[in-house]
Amino acid sequence: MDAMKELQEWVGNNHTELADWAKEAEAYTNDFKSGALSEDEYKELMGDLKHSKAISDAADDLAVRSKANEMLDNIIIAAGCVL
Amino acid sequence: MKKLLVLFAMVMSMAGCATLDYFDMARFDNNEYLLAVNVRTQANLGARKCGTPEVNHEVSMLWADTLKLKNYAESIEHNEETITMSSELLEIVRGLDQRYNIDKKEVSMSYCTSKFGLIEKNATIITNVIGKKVR
Repeated sequence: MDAMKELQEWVGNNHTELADWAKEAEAYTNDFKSGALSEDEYKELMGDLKHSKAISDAADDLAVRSKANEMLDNIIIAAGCVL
Repeated sequence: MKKLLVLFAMVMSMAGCATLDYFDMARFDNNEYLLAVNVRTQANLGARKCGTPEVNHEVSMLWADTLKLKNYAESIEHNEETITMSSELLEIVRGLDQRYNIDKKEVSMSYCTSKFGLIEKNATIITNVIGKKVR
């Protein structure tokens, strides 16, 4: 399967975050093909999507840990009322 | 409620230190949140200057704001995720700063708007998640 077709399939993916980054990649590719972006600018922007993925992953981890801590705090507070 | 506490204590004792580490995290910090908001705002303002001579100054400001966020995040204990996020964001901003202020290359309008847009998007994710840290 050619890379552009594969990218377009990802754009229609149900996984919102993945579809979002695929849309960015498609836009950069189109800009590069039209000459609006130089080759090195295009490569840098595509590389930035990997950094963006790492940011999203860390953000997800932090959100889960924050929620878990909040729940733990709530349990402790509630227990304090009962004990 | 006592049963819940006993259950919790059992889970903690069975899972050991790994579980305790998981709950040992940096809490909400006003300064950290403000620094993240500054990066997001600066990315938004910088995008408006694409194609003008003032963009170089905006890029310098963005670089400084992002570096401050990373350095501040690193000074807080148990803050791994925020350190990762700010370090990765700094890598994205580095390319922009390199082109405008170090190499002083010719930069296309499309690159400028795409880059600022991507930085603002990531800074928004970071701001939102830092804002939800436990108080």
